[in-house]
Amino acid sequence: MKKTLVGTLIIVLLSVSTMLFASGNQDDDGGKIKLSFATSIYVEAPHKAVIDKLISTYNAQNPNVEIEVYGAGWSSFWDNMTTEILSNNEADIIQMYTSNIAQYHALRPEGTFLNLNDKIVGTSYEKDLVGQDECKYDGDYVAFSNYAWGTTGLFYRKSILERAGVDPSSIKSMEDFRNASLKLTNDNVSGFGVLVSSHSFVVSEWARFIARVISGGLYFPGEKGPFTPDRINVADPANIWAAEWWQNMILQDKSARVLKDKKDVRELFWNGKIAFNLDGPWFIGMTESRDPALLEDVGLIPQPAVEYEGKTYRPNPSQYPLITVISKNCKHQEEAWDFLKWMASKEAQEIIAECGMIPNSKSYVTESNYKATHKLAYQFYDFIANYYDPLISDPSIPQIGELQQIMIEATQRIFSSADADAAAILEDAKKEMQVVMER
Amino acid sequence: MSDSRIFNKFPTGFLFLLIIVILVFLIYPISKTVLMSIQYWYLPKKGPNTTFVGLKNFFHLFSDKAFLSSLGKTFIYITVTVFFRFVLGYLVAFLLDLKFKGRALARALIIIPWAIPEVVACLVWILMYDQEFGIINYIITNFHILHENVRFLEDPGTALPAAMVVNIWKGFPFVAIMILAGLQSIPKELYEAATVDGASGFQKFRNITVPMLKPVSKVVFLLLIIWTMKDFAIAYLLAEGGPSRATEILTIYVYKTSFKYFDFGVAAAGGFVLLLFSLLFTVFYMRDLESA
Repeated sequence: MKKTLVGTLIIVLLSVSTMLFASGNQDDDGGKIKLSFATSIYVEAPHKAVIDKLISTYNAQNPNVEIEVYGAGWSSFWDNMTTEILSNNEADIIQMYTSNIAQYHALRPEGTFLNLNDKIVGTSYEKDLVGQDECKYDGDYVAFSNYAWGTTGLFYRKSILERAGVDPSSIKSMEDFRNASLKLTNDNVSGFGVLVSSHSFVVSEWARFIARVISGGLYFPGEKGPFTPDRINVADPANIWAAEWWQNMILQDKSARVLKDKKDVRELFWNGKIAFNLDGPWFIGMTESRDPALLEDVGLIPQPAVEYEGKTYRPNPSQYPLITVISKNCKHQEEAWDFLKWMASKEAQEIIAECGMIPNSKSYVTESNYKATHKLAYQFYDFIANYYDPLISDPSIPQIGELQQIMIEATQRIFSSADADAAAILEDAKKEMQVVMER
Repeated sequence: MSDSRIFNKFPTGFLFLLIIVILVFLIYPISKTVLMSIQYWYLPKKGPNTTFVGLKNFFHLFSDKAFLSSLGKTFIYITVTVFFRFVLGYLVAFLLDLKFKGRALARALIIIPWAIPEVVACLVWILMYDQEFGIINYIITNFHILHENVRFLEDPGTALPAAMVVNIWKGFPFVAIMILAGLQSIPKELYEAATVDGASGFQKFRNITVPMLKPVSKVVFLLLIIWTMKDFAIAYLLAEGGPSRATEILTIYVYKTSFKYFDFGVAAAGGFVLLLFSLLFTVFYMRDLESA
């Protein structure tokens, strides 16, 4: 009898706790509206500080709403999101990049994210927010650009360059950069750090530094449609040349330290083992949170131009606005939108600027107060205005994840062995991509 | 009312519950996988995603170089890791069967690799393999075994062997413990009788130890094959199937095809192939279990 009672009790407890667990994230608690917010950047200290502050400020101002953050690490975040969407269990609000929109929105036949046309079309948001024009899928706004944006530049350690007699302002072309890296490499220091691993940066740094600059696109010319198999651009002669150039710099010059993760590159830069680091505005906040004094020894120059077949190409690196979507499954869509809208407000943009990111409101960034208080971050704005050609983003097509994976695998092969035949590998990648686009 | 009385009162009820459990957790997922494997299930493309395509996904699979390569890698992965897990496990079991001071502690320590979670084990090995900060590279270069640090997990040539080392390290204690248990179940009288008959140590090993360990060895061997075939965590956590697909064994291929490429039809076909292989060895295992 005792055993039966205990058994029944356990079953009842399990059932109740399962029901509570299943409903915990969705139901409102004590009259409060609960919203979940998923982001891939929460594991990075400056972003965490800002997101925490954004949410606590908003929660304090809106006592009827409680926003909770879910922040898996960058690489596992995307897999988690896929699984969550497929199981109808994603967060109410999700932060991502513009190139992710199509891939995840297409996971459900009726679309995963809420249509935001009625909230954005005809408003000042369309022109004032960087990246807002890339928030469309099939002509409809499904995302809102309200956090921050960034492009890349070359950070350098002033002390290391001074010791080696390298003047950063003299680095105008990729050949200058290559020579400087060689000069800076000795037993203790390497010119710069390069990823050769399963990390997506193994492609993106090579692409934004040199490949896309001369070829205009890895996937399609200009990364513009029509997105047909015959227009796959990866084996373009300029891309092959760029791959061989990068391969030589890493494996012949040995002026680059080959690493597994971007965080290792950053760590070595902070420890004075790497002279240059290709990074975005977020790196300012990261460096500051690591050691504010370190910032004194950090300088920034724009990405160098590329010379190819007698022609000079201005850099046109990728632009990464962090945009936000609302799930169609969100129970409180209006409240979620209110929060998104608030993130684009001046108050929130000021909080965002604290992490060293460039806030995405153009009107806010161009204010004299911002220019004066965020000099280093403002340099990125200057790069875009004066040094870089129009930025290029990955095409917004659902197949982009698969195309990116093919490129990761191809570049891993090219940059891990000096004997690797870049032309043949990129030709294979092209064929694989064509299969994807034909499917 | 005791448990047995409840069962006696409602035997068909419990049987019905069992049938429901089997249907929900076994039959439904397998049937769904089989169904998906003969359907077009490619999410990035708009339009109907559950069209019947017959064996097209299987044709696609066997014409895909990546799949064939993952099959080859899986075969190598199984052969090498099962062999070394087995050999190492046997050696350690014999050592632990000897009488020496601290034997109990040694037996407890040997089980640590098997006991710790795969995620923790892989994180430790990632640190040890690290090109810049890893202890293995520190030893290699400081003892002048090699002049340059090795990029164990970033070089396509070394990534799979590096993953196999972790797999062997993680799995050999299981073999050791099983064989040790087998060794201890051999009646001592057999050895005593053999000694009286003048048998040498090798003769005792060949004629008593090996035959007596045969049943447990066969079961362990088949279990190792089945488990290694299904291994996902080690190869994925260490290198995510890379670099350049060097560690992309069959399970990772299936995972990537579904959750990275969203081609669930082809992934289900791959999963079905994996299921067939697993079933094949499971049948051997069950037969052995029955005959043991």
